[in-house]
Amino acid sequence: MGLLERSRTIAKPGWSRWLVPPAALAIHLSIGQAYAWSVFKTPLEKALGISGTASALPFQLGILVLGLSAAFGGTLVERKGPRWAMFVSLVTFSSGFLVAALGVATRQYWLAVVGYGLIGGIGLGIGYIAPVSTLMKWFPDRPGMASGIAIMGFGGGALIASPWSSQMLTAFGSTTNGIATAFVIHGVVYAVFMSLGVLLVRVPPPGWRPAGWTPSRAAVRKLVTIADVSAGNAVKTPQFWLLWVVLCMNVTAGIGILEKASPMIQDFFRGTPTPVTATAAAGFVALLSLANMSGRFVWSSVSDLAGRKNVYRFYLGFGAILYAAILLAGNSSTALFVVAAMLILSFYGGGFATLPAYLKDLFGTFQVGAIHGRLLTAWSVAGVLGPAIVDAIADAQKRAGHAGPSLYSLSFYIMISLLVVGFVANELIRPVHPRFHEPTAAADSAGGAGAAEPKDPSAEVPIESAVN
Amino acid sequence: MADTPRDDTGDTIAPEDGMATTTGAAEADAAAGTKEAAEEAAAAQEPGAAGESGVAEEAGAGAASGDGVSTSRVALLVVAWLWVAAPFLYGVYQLIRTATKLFR
Repeated sequence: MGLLERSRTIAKPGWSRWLVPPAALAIHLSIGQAYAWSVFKTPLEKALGISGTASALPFQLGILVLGLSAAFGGTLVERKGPRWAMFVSLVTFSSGFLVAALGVATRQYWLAVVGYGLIGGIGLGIGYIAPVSTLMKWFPDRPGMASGIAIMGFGGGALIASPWSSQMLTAFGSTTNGIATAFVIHGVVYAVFMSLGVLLVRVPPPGWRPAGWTPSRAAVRKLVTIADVSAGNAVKTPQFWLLWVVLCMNVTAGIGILEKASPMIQDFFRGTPTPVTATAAAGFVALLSLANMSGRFVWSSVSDLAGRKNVYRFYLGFGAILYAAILLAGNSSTALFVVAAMLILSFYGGGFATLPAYLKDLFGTFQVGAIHGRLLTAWSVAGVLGPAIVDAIADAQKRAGHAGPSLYSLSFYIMISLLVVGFVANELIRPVHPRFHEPTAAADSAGGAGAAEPKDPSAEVPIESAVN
Repeated sequence: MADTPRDDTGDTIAPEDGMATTTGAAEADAAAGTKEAAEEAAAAQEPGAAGESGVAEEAGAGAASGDGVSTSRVALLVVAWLWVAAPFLYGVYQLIRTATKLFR
């Protein structure tokens, strides 16, 4: 385990911090494959004779375990360091595919669910949070951009996996043997690809700062004393729960469109002079993916200049206006619908990517990865809430004989309300009360996770933050 | 304080890639009794501590030696970014091909 120890990952003088983003991307581009699970659904249903609900189980369990492992494993990730975490992610994510391959080859579907969903899900959660605090330490001058690069990778993972997996199934066939072979290749290739991240990741030496950067230069608007808050204390603060609400509302609003994008645009413009075909709808879904992915990098980078609170005002406030614009325009303009949906999805991605930097602003870098992991439970809730709202209402409206935009009008009113709730929660966020801060000496000498990671000296200096 | 990471010349390391390490703060940590920080600092000074991967050895040494090693550090940066950019661009290309269907 020596190679994986935190102390063995400290960068030597001269190590370029620009080697850390590709290390993070090697992990996130791999685990982002989860969003391309749907490629395997129909082949699994045909090969094993299972239902659509059953074929979704590995993905659903994977996302559930992602949230749980990020929430409960975050402190361990902070203590053990990024290389250990990335290695755990590599082993579990890749072996999950191999176990799933065994399950499909032997027609023991439960084994595929356990392999991909449970074992692989641990890899998703640990891998998602693994590089976050490391990137924050390497890029204290541009934390939004740094986390944006990594989290953009999670969005990009599906772009790679979707066509790649499809081509593999075409080559090997959609039989049990063909799917199992594809799973084995996925497991092996992802293990090799992720190994770059494991080998390349470094933590900066204690006291390291970018040349010419001082904490006071992080000043944007409001003076905030940034000390360090432990993950245990963070969950006791109102700021944590307000951010939880912000994330949950923002994700719910985005995922409501994302999950039903293809039928939604076809329903919207059915019977109009400009109907949208299923093929064109596939193009719309691809555009939304592009907006989701690029929003992660662009908006989180913008947050370094505009401040986290302002950029979330934009996501939530402008997002609500865009939903209202779709409602008002109805099915009169395809272009307006497409552009508004793309912007909403870019805010959805931006909300994910800006979050670690917002947490750093509020709680410091001390245990930002662990805090991030706990906050991701909002994602799990939103992942259920968003599709449930849109699907239930659309189904009810269809049963009532409605068609066109009216299938989704009520859903969109609800999304606007949720975004307003998120906007208000964001407005209520203030600097964390000093009673939650880690006493410097205590943090230095205490056991456990708190002491395991040397405090970033820059975080001990009262700095003007970009929170507001 | 001897365990605190520092370069050959003194307190502030200003490596070729434009970064700086303020070791005074690390010393303050060690002085305050940050055992783990001191251990990590010591580990950082061990030859090869950060270089188990081989690639790290090359890049780490680059700060102290000549152009040949600087070149290898640049090469490492290029390889690392190509490693992730190549599949990413493949994915973007496939996505754009699909997205154009909306406008046909």
